[in-house]
Amino acid sequence: MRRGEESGVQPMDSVLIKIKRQDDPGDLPYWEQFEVSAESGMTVIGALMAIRERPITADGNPTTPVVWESSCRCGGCGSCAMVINGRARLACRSFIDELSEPVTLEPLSKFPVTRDLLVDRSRMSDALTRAGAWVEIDGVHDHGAPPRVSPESAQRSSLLLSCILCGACSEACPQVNERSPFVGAFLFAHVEALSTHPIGAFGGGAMLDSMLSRGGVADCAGAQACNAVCPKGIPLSETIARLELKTTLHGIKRFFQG
Amino acid sequence: MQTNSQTVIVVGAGVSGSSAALTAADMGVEVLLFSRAAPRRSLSCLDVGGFNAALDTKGEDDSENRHAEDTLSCGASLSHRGMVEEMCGEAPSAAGLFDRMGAAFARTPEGMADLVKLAGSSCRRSLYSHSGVGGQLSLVLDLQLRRQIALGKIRLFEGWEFMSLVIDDAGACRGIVASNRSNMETKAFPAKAVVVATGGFEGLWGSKCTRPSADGSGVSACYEQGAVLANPEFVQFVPFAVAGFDACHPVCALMLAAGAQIQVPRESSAWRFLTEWYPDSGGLVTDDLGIRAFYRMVVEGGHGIEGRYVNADLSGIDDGLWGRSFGDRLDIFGRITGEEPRGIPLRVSPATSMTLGGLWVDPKHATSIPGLYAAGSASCSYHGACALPGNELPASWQGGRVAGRGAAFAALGGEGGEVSSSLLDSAKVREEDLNVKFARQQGDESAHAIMRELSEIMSSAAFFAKENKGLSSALAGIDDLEKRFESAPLSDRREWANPELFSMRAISRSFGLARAVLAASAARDESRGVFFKPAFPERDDRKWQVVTKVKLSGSAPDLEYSGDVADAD
Repeated sequence: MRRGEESGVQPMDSVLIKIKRQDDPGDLPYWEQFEVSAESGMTVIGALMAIRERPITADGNPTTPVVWESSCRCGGCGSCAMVINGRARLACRSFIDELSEPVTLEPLSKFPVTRDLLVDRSRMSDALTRAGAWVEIDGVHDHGAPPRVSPESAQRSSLLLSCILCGACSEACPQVNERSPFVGAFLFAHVEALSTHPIGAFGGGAMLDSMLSRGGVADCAGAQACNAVCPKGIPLSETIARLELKTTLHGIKRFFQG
Repeated sequence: MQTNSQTVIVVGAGVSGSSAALTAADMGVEVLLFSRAAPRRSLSCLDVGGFNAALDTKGEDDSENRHAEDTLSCGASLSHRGMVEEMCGEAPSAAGLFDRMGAAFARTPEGMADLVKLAGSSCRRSLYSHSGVGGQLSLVLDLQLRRQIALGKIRLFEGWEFMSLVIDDAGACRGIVASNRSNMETKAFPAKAVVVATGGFEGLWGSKCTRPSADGSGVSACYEQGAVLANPEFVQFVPFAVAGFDACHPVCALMLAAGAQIQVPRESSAWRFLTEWYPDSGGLVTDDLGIRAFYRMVVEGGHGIEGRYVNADLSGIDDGLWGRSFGDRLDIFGRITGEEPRGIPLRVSPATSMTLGGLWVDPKHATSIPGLYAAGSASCSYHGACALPGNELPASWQGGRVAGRGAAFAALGGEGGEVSSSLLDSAKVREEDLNVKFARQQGDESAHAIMRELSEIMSSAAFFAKENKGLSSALAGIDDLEKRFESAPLSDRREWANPELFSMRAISRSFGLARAVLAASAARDESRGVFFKPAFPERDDRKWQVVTKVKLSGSAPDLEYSGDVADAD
């Protein structure tokens, strides 16, 4: 998408930014508005930096700087995912003049808020740990030549493992909520790639077992909302379909082999 | 808190910190790993280049020796030969290890890891991935860490900020003080040995040309406590980057290898000056040559576009081969320029990529403080005066391996007795007192504005072409900023998830680091690798083939020079 396309607006001098804030996990959220002078090529990160340097609301009231998380600023680390104009996006890849005004910033709603736009995404890594989403290697020492992998398989895995754990897929998914152990499509991208890996496949049974339990791949209701929001363009629905088939076959095999 | 007597602390969970933690855990010691954020989010993920390993699978007679020679030559004889040879010897097995962990390197039709020739390498030697090799490594290392955590071999302190070292009366490092970024609790942790792998300090150059999160606060904490810095004046500049408003994005070595062309417009056709000036390498040049070429074309020749830029033409990049590899970056280029990035030449200019200097380490990665090890960009180790493209990740991995092993041996050897609780308490109280001092600062300055001004000073005086006049006025500018910082209040006094306090601490420490960079740059009157001073354009081996060692004395950097690189042969 080219700049300005979403809103059709011209580059503006000053832009209104509405931010949903929350002081700590137990407090109620509230909204604050800020005027930021937008410069060409400014992203949401740039706007938040400007607010941090001069934390004064649009009404002229001094306030605390807004808290958010960011690191690499080029879509590589997943830190800065938030809900921007109603949709989960990376702040570093969201250009102010591509967004319609007022620009609204909210924390990801599927994770507990730590403060303001900063959320605790540890349930993502917890889910990876529960699934045992890794290759069981003997140690980090030298081991001779690694296994061969077909170019197609490597290319597919590289795409699946380009996941930056930003949480956009969890945010978009209607199945992810407080009452369900279902965490989102990112988990399936990991399990699919690692259980296909020549060494990962040895221990892959345990990973697939975990996919048969609650919160596993069968709990996906096929809404496909994850596909549209993944900032890395990982084909999540297709991956889920593949993994569902693999898991079903694994389940049948397990049933007959006891 | 209770820890057993064989505890190793690793600070930082990028490639070097993960490497140290996994290595030490394999050796059976208890590892406490401290990281600001999830390991996957470390800045190692930024590396979209390659991973150099002399696999020699292309029939080009590559060898570990050739890899070492290319590295030493690119580093302009300022790296330690023995360490470089060891890194190059280990790189093939490291590449194999990442393969085993599941990192998806691009493959040949036979299923071997494919290799590409990057600038400065004498043959095809670099593994790469269609989605960025740094991201792949960060992810599989994060998962391997989670596995060791589940097994109880590593304890991860995610969301903790490193504050300072615990140093005993004998001057040895006996642990660290760290703060929880959510509940703001400050705590001292004892350990037999500490590995600092907190990354570089290129963040001092600011968001317009690099990543501010590389704020160097880990390195500067150790420097303030007496650790010696080495070569702070050596900073890798990438010659050709697209500048956004709040970040910048390099046309990286892999893109150049894939067919990106650097040029300026001329009446009839584009002037591809790199190809013309460096015909032997087909214009595929390392950063040291790239910044000189930029200087010659734009500053001396006056041929720059608007006097500031040259063009990068990406139309020659084969979409079928490389489309996926650069998808993200091309998207960003397109959105910054508002044009299809392969349709028009992009305006590019130099940017800061990473600091090559850092904590001084010996070949075992031990710093000048007993019990303290350093690895990755936090240390000055493998790159010398210019990093060979594709060596960044192997160097981080190797540094972590050696430092992790050294720290684990120290822990297993059981040197030093128990750390006294009074030593831990006083280290903790010192940091809490410092927090109170920041909370009490009054005035109408803004700490972030001061940091922005500091980065403006660094990106003008300590940029890719340095001159002594600018450097000395920059030093005066830093003094002025440090004075003004005393009138910068803490803009947020809440005692819950308050990143402003950590920013204040990092900013307060950046003045000393900036001075070390500026003073060491002013002193070195030569040009070597990426260190380029146009008034002294030649490399002066007789006088300057030496490592700069900087120790903090009061608030001023005290410079010394050591010839141990030259002796290392």
